[in-house]
Amino acid sequence: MNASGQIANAFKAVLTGLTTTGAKAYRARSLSLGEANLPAILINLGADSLVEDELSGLSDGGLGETWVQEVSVVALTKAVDSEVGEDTLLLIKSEIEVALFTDPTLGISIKYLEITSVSAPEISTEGEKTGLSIEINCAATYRIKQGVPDAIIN
Amino acid sequence: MVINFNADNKYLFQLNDFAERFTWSGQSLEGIFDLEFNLSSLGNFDLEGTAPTMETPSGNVAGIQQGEIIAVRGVDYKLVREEQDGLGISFLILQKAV
Repeated sequence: MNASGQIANAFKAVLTGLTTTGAKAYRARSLSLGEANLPAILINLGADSLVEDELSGLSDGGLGETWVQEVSVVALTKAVDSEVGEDTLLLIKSEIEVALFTDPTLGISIKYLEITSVSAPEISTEGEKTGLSIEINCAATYRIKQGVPDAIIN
Repeated sequence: MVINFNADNKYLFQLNDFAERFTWSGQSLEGIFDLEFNLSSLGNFDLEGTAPTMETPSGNVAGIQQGEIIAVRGVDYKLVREEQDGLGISFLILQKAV
């Protein structure tokens, strides 16, 4: 599997089983979410960018490339009381951060893992309950050998 | 000729038809309650739910304010906003109250 897919899967594995969201961590989900699926975490890949000044020769004569894969992690919930909903989002945010940095390699030799920004909570007052979301933007730096995109190397 | 919409409107809210009772500010009133499917957008994602509304003659709820509570079917709802149709009918957009 392509390195980007491995990273998305690693995020999903690490973020599945949190106290707040349990098994409701979804990758690249295109379907709408019902209340039975909330609170939830959505994982979506962003841009994948080459770090040109970190190109390096490998011991086997190949060229080592360093890439930065952006990953968007969105926490979603619904609540009767919007303040309670916002607190739930912030609790999920804390759990996500703890889970991601328990092993910043994500078990797949990620070189650097960072949370680069967190959006302001978004609130929707349409419907019987208030919907809330927050987006946590992450960057996973990884290395591959040029021409071998499916193998993350140290 | 002046059309008296208020006189006509009362026939729209018969309890033996689609209307039911709700309470607001200690008054028992008649209106048509809907709890339709609703898809609300949050960023790039859609959340499923329901959208409670109460349709009632505007005169029934004159002076109602955002956040005030109405009770229907044993559930308390707070008023998000009142939308008047200009012909004497108000649509109360509701959310579940805490």
